[in-house]
Amino acid sequence: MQDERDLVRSAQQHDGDAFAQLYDKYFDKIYRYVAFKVGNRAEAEDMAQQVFLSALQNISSFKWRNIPFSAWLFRIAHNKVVDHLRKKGRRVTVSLEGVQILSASNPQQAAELSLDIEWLKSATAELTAAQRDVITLRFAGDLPIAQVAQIMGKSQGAVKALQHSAIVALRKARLGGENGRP
Amino acid sequence: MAGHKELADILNECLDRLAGGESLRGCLASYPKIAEELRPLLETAIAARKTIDIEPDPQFKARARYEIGAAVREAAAQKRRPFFSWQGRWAVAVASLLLVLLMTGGGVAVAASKSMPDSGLYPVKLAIEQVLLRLSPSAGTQAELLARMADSRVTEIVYLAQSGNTAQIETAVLRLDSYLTRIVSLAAAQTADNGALSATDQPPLEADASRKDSLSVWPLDGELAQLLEYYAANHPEAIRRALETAPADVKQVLLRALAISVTGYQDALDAIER
Repeated sequence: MQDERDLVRSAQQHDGDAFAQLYDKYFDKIYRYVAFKVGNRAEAEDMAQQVFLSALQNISSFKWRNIPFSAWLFRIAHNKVVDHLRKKGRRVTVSLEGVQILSASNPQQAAELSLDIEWLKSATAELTAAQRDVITLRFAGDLPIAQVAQIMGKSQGAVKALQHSAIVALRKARLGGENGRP
Repeated sequence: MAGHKELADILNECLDRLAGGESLRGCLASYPKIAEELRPLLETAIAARKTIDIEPDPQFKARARYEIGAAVREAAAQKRRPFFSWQGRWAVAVASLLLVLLMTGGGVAVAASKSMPDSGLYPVKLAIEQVLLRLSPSAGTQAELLARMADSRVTEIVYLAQSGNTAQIETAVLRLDSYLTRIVSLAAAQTADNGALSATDQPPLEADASRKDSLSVWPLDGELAQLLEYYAANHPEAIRRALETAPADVKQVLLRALAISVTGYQDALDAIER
């Protein structure tokens, strides 16, 4: 297995296998990130594909400069999400209708997850934009804190603090939701 | 109770450990003094992560992978082609020569630059465009040239609409689409590149205002925007007029040209305004 820097270098020289490996490594993460942001499966699928087509078209312009490839890829994804939502006149928000839930293996589990989705939808709407970005990049993008910090242009300490405050806010919203349930 | 900073650090460490497969109990056991405070936060994070754990439809994923693979192969094939191979090297050589003549007012070069797809000089016109594109010193000038090339293709589409040559219109429409897509890609790459460059001193994800600043290295954005706004206003209108009098068998492809001219310019404008 080539390391990522070698893969990117090979992909820049139009090595299809190298780009395919990068695609396989990041597609699900990018899809999750986009789906969480736009909240619609068809749109998320289309945009995730566009992200990789853009990456393919522009990979020769990518330079490491201490920024990992994943950060570059997520920047493309973020820009596409912002453009998409701007065109639709929507603010960046969360609504997971129509998105396939990976872990729901039976109806009961699906119902529980549906409640979780409702909770997460309303809870994330209350987060600040920066808190929402941290949660999305960390949990949907599955990125380590160092990369989230690079993408957001913040220190790791600041991102950890945002992550902490976001989870505290999610917790409060969850408790509120549970107390409010019949 | 742990300090705020300390708790944020420990929470992050535990999240990494959980993501790596360790149990909640194991994480809490490492920090018995703050386990009570840590547990609800980790449970919340686990629930959030589980809720976000969504995956693309497998059929779509397979189809998308195939399409990306095709795009990779196409990109590799283009790279292997010396340059503009479908026209042959002769056209490039002639184009380079005519480019010089064009700059000095040469009659044949000027004629080529105004030729239409049904003219023998048309391949030279396209080759001149590609030479100019290659010689463009920056992404901004490339984008401006692509916009002007899009203008030429629309002129040709309108001209061809009356002749009923669907294949030539189809080719011009594909080129129009490709130029507008390339403008969007150039702008996106510029934004991504600038975002990467500025990642240490400004928060790229936070505010649109900071992103606007980061685009200050995008040259000619004012001129390009004006050009695109002008084309966005005029090209769809020109195609609409052509549609009114075009033969029935080319109406379909003209409608596609119209759709591309409406959305393509808007996408390009959105991309450079970011």
